[in-house]
Formats: sequence, C-alpha cells, structure tokens
Amino acid sequence: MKTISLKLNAEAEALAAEARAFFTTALPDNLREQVKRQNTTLPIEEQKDWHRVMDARGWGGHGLPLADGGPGWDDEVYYAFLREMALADVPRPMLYGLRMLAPTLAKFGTADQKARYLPGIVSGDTMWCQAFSEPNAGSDLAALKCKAVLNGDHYVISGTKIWTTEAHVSDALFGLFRTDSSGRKQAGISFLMMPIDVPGLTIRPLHLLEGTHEVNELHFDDVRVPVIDRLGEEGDGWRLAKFLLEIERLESAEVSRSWAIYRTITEFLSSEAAATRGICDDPGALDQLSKLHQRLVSLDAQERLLVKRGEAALREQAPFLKLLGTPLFQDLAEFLMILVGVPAQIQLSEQERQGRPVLGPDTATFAAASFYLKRTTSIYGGASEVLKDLIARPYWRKA
Amino acid sequence: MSTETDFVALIGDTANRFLRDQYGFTDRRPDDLSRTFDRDRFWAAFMELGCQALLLPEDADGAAQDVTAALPVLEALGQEVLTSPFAVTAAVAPLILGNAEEPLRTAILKKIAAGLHRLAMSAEDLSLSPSAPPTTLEITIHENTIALNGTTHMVIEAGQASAFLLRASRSGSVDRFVFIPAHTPGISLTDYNLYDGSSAATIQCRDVNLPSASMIVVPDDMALNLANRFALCAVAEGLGTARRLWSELRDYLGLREAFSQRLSNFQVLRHRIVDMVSSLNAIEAGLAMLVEAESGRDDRDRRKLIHTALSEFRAHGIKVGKEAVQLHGAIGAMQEHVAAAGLTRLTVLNELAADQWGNERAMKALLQQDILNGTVSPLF
Ligand SMILES: Cc1cc2nc3c(=O)[nH]c(=O)nc-3n(C[C@H](O)[C@H](O)[C@H](O)COP(=O)(O)OP(=O)(O)OC[C@H]3O[C@@H](n4cnc5c(N)ncnc54)[C@H](O)[C@@H]3O)c2cc1C
Repeated sequence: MKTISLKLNAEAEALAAEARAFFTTALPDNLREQVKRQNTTLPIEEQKDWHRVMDARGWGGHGLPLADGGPGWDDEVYYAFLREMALADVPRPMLYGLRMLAPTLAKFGTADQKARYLPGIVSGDTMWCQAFSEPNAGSDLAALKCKAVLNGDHYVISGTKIWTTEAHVSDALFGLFRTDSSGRKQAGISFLMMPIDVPGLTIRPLHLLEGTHEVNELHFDDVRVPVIDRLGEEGDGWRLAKFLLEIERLESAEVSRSWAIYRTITEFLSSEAAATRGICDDPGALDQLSKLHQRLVSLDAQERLLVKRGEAALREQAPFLKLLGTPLFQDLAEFLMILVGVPAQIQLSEQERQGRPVLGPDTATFAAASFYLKRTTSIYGGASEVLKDLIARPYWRKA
Repeated sequence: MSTETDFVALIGDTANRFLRDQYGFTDRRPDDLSRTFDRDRFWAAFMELGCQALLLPEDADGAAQDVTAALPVLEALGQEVLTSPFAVTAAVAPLILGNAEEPLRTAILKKIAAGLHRLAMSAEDLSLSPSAPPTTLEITIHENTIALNGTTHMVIEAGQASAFLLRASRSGSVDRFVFIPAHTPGISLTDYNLYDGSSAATIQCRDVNLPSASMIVVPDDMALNLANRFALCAVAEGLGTARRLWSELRDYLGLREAFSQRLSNFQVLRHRIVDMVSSLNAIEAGLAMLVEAESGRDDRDRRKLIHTALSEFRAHGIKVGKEAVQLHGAIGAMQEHVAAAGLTRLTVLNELAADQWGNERAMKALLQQDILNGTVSPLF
C-alpha cells in the first residue's frame, strides 16, 4: 500500500531545525520584514546578496543533485527546507533559474552547458527569466510563432515574447522558439538560452494591476544565438518545456507561503486595530478563518503525502496541488485585505516614495497589493481552466 | 413639452454619451496612470451637463428629482471606471447641507448646483460599519465662532475638494457636521492614492476657527440616511463597472482564439459568463433594495435592506471583477486593462461602503432581534 504517513523522515526534521536556526540569525531584518508584509518586489541586488549568504552555507543550489552543485537532498528534505524558508519569511529564491532551468539543465544539458550555466545559478550571480508566452500563444503555447532560423552555427531570432517575468532585472533568458513550421505545431519548437543583453533584444515594461513592474514584453530583432546554447535537440523544446513547467506547477501550489499569510492573519487578529473594530471575536470572521485553516491543512496533507510517495506521484498529481493551492492562496490574501479594511487600499509605493507613514496597522502595508497580485497565480504556470482540461484528458484515453 | 421622466432619461443619456465619447476608459487610461489626467477640466466639463443639480431642491436652483434620477449618471461613471467627487458632492452631502442654517444652506447648495463646489467626506461617515480609523475631531464652541481640533482619516477625494463636510464631537452633546472650506487656516492634509486611482486624505485640524453657522445640527437618522445614500451611489457605480467588465469579456472571448477555436466555444467559459450575468442581476437587485430603503420605511427594515444589498454587492461585485481578470488571461491583469481597473475599483467601492464583518454582524443582530420579537416577515 502507498504510504499514508505525514511524518517527515529524520533527515528532513533535522534539516528543518538547522534551517530554522540559520534563518533566524542570518536573514537581514529588512528583508524579513518586507517579505512578511507581502512585498513581492524586493530589490534584485538584495535578493542576490541573500542568495550568496545561502550559497556560503551550502544551500545555494537547494533542490539540485550533488553532482550539479546542490546538496543532493531527497524530496522530503527539500520540502522541509522550502517550508522553513516560507515560514521564516525568507525571500523566494530566484525561481526561473534555480527552480526551473537548473533541474532541466541537470537532466537534459550537455556537460559544457552545465559547466557554463549551473554555477551562476547556484551562487545567485545569474538571474534567469523564461520567455515562453507570446501575444497569441498563452494557454495554447504550442501556437508560438517567434522564429529561430538556423544560419551556420547560429540561430537568428525574430518575433515577440510577452509576460516575461523579471526580464528587466535578469542576466539571461531561456525560451521556446519556432524552428520548423511544417509539421505538428508541437514538433517544430526548440529551447534556446541567451544573455539578456544580446544585441537586437529590447525589453518593454508592463505593469500589473496594482502597479508593479514585474512582467515585460520582449522584441527580438535578428537576435543571434549560437547553436551550442540550444538545450536538447532541435525540435525537442516542447518535451523540455513540459518537464520544466511541471516543476513550476508544483512550486505554485504555494502551501508554505499560504501558511505564512495565515500567520500574518492571526497576527492581525490579535492586534489593537482588529480589537477596535470588534473583529477578533467576530463569529463570522472566525468561521471564515476556520474554513481557510481547514483547506490549508488539507492541502498541506495532500502535498506531504505526495512528497512522501516520491517524484513520480508528485509530478503526476502536481496540477491538483496548484488547482487547490492557488485559490486558497488568493482567498487568504483577500481575507487579510478585508480584515485590514479600507486602509489596505492605500497604494503603498507612493507612500513610501513620499516617506509618509501608512495609515493602519503594519499588516495593512501590502495586504491589498497582495490580493490584487495573487489574482495572477491562477493564470500563470497554466491557467486553472486549462489545467483541469489537461488533467481530465488521459481519463478517456484508450488503453 | 417634455415630461419629468423624459428629462431624467435625457440627462442620463447625455451623461452616458459625454463620458463615453470624451472620457472613455481606453483613451483616458494612460493619463490616469501617469497621473496627468486633468481632473479640474473633467469636473468643469461634466458640471456643464447639470447632473450635479438633479437631486438639489428647487430653491437652490436644483431639479428636485428623486434619487433614481442620479442612477444613470452614477452607472455611466462606473462604465468608464471614472472616479470622481460626484457622488459625495451631488448626492450625499446635500442630505446634511439641507439642515444648515440660512443663508449658508442656500448659498452652498446653489454653488453645488452651479458646479462651483466639490465636497469631500470621510469614509467613516458614509458607512454603518466603517473600517476607516475613527475620527478624533472635536468642536469647542465660542461666542460667534467654533474651533476644531483633531484628525479625520480617509476623506475621499479631499485633495481636489473645495470644502469638507466632517463630523465632529462636542463633549456632552451629539455629533455635529462642520462645513470647512478647504483653505481654512489650521488644516493640513496628508494625501494618499488608492489602488483604484482615486485619492483620500487624512485631515488634521489645529485650532481651526470657523463661524458658528458652519456647524450643522442633523437629525438622529442622518447616519442611516448617509449610509443608505452612499451605498446606493457605490452600488450604482459598481453596477456600471461590473456591466462594462462583463460586456468586454463577452466580446474578448468571442474574438480570442486558442487551440484553433474561439474561447467562447469552450463550454466552461460560457458557463462562467452566464454565472456573471447572475451576479449582475444580484447587484442590480441590491441597488433596488437601496432605492427602496430610501423610500421612508422603518429604520430596522432600512438597515436590513442596506446590509443585504452591501453583502450582495461584495459577493457579486468582487466576483465579477475577479472573473473578468481571470478569463481575460494575463492581459486582464495589466494595469491598462479595464478588467484590472474594474477589479480595483469594485474592491475599493466595497471597502468604502462597509466592513464585511461589521456589516454581517449588524445584520445578524437585527435578525436575532426579529426572532426574539417574533416579527419575521418578508421585506417587501
Ligand atoms: C503575472 C504573470 C507572470 C507571467 N510570467 C511569465 C513568464 O515569466 N514567462 C512566460 O512565458 N509566460 C509568463 N506568463 C504568461 C502565462 O503563462 C499565460 O498568461 C498563461 O499561459 C495564460 O495565457 P494567456 O494569458 O494568453 O490567456 P489565454 O490563453 O488567452 O486564456 C484566457 C482565458 O481563457 C481560458 N482558456 C484558454 N483555453 C481554454 C480552454 N481550452 N478551456 C477552457 N478555458 C480556456 C484561460 O484559462 C483563461 O482564463 C505570466 C503571466 C502572468 C499573469
């Protein structure tokens, strides 16, 4: 029978204790505070500096095998580590490089590619972004048109990518490009990597609903990328992207970060501001809190069972985690925003720029921004509606 | 000769066309975001239509219309997701100003009718269950003057107001409202922008001296009247925004293609669009409840109607906003997009109109009392 235990193994428990102690002393207060208040746009240099601190501790490549510069943890240890990071308000590590490209490189990269790219990811020196989506290829990613034409030992790229997160602060990008339009649309796609300052690439900022600059539009005007920077074979991009996106889906269940918001909620509920408005003992609010708590514990248990059941189960079931996790993450953020009330609606960045105190409790600072921003969690990494479709597809496949 | 109904329809229609053609969301949005939108010019042009006089009494050059006359104007503002001091100036503040002493009363109302006043009030005074921090404003009465001291938070659109209408307390007596011209010495403003592009301010008064006539004594049910009227304005505007989001989304799903077909072919999306219509209907029903609550019922029924309408507005208004973002995909989450702007506006309107928990608590208390009294009956 498949395991039904929620207990982590001894190694995971030990690592969790070690990580907790390390984060308590090593994480700069300023960063901890920003993360705790749900600020999602931390200065990139501060994030990199923090990553270097983690790297010095041997955890820069957490999640990667020993051979590729990581600590070589099993799923349970890795899971325990991520949990501690979230609960200690540690900034989320550079997602696209470490969490997505690195495991894909480790599995499919040539020795030369690994040697050139993995060390920068592990040390935190190279920040990567992911250029998959296009204006007319989002959920239907295989419809992508941005063209890479082979010319000697280079590809020449022309076209547009959009919604590229953090491109404006990245050092490099990986993306999917159309190298053949003749057959099935999934077949003619290749996976290329390049530095962000490659000639011919321009980046235009786009602003999300509450004003942050997180995503971008990229224009490729005869950008030249050497063939040695193609990951996998030509036309292999779709398979690699599927591998990589499954990792993104697991990450975006956001269980640990949901626990962090839950904790912020309880802190607000015990504050004076909540007492003044009679919320802390309001049966309606407590009822909602209890329902959110129940969903969170259940999701947590589901994720933990999968972690204990290993890589295959985790990959197969990851879409379920995202489907449950993103709305919960969103509902927690909304609950916090509503608890804080109208002071949460003050646009913080402007306040900060003007050096004025924010009205309301400290928790108010990013509560609304977080609610608005988290609407996107059920769009990126596979929109919920499309994920459900993907999950259902094999159910009726002929044996 | 045109009838009264024709006149109201004409004003609504004119406002609608004017806002759509000259201040339409898509053309205006870049200026909103760069904060270069000329609010003074907008207000001046908007006032030329005369909408601000709709609800004012005839002796103050108003059209003395019933509150429903303002609904098309509010909805049209919502359609273009255009924040403005219209609701407070033309629909809410006159409820208080009607109680001011003469000649102040007529003078101010006439100025509003002529489009020469923009008034700002605190979110706390516009709701039965506010979440804004409470005011500490106090009045000291002298022989012919009054002095004001203290702080009021979340005064909506205070930065562009010509005067404030704030509630202040006086020890041993009930609260009064005070009419305060914006540039009165002793007043300082801390302005903040809200996520929907509107603004609010904390107003601090230090020994602000005003003539005694600036103090307005209001009847006991004023808090209820103000909350009713503001809720009505918020829901009417929200209905306009929600309707706009729905029609934009319907059009987008009919055009956008994925997996070699229009998104509107996917059954799950068609169902969601249908559910959104149910939400629009629920918001509209809430609006009707608020109109009904204005029509002179007993206080308990009025409160129940207000609480219910606001609960429905929260549940369905924010839901329409979220769906509009989600079903547009990434483009709907961009600040320029009407779905994003609509979601933030619907959220802010809800937060201004009521604290969710306070609203629900108050409703539960009323229902509990009904059970104890054995007085349960349909509301209409
Ligand atoms: C904040 C943010 C960050 C992002 N970062 C990146 C990034 O770094 N790199 C990158 O490449 N991309 C990124 N994306 C893009 C993201 O992957 C796409 O937004 C996503 O794939 C959805 O595509 P779309 O936005 O074009 O929506 P569309 O595909 O146009 O979908 C619109 C709506 O229709 C629904 N829909 C579509 N197809 C179906 C169907 N068959 N059945 C039912 N419903 C359907 C969708 O669920 C959605 O609700 C980001 C997006 C956001 C919002």
